[in-house]
Amino acid sequence: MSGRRVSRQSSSSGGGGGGSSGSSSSSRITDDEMINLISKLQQLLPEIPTSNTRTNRRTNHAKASASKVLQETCNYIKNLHREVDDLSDRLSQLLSTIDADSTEAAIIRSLIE
Amino acid sequence: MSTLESTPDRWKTVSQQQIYSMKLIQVLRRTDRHFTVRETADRLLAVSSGGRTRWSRAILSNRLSLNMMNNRRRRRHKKVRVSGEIRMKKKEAFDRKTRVLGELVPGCRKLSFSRLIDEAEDYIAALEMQVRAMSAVAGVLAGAGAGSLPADSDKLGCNN
Repeated sequence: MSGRRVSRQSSSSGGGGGGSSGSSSSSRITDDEMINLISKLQQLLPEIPTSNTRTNRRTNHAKASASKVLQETCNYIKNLHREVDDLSDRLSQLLSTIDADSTEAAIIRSLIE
Repeated sequence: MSTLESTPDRWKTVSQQQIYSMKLIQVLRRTDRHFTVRETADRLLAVSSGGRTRWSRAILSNRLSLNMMNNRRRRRHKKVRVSGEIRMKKKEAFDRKTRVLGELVPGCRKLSFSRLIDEAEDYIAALEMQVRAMSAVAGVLAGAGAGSLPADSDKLGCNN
């Protein structure tokens, strides 16, 4: 499982692996497909410095900026995980210090105001 | 056929956040839970997903508490000696980061690249909602502890 290459660049436009069939084997993705997918990711992220292509080597550059976006995405998810962890700790603390009645009262108050 | 329900945008509605917040408080108040707060929050998030995504199904398929499962995870670092071609190195960096992403999104280690991106997109939106909702819940509970009334109305669903 670990050595499997997920993506392989291919110059043929055979429609790529698509991926919607749910197969887990490595898929061939075209450059266009990858650029589309990466731009999709870019839209998710708060602030990504997009690199403008200046060279002719679309493939290399696409991979480079794709790597950057992938990196940012991974960092962002890790940050979100950490936030959830911190919030979970905080909620644990709060739950242990207040009784059930106060909780209920607070909820109701916050809803009806 | 892209209704709001099937897109990552569904995580951004106020009602989605409100419902999650309320249910979270409901479940957390119980004294018989054997999942941690984090696990509870994640499982509820997965349930809220409606079973359409792989990451949500992966979270729910873990019946055991993560405390018991942590030992199982191993890291496999594979060092590959390659030629000096820049192209090869960039490809490897790309593959490596793709793999990391697949490890961060639950249940998505073996997905094709395109499906992984789809899952990540939804998962990120869900996580953002989770953060907003849990922050609001913490605010409400903190207000309960202090015995003071919350300043904002509709706190559990506020999104800025």
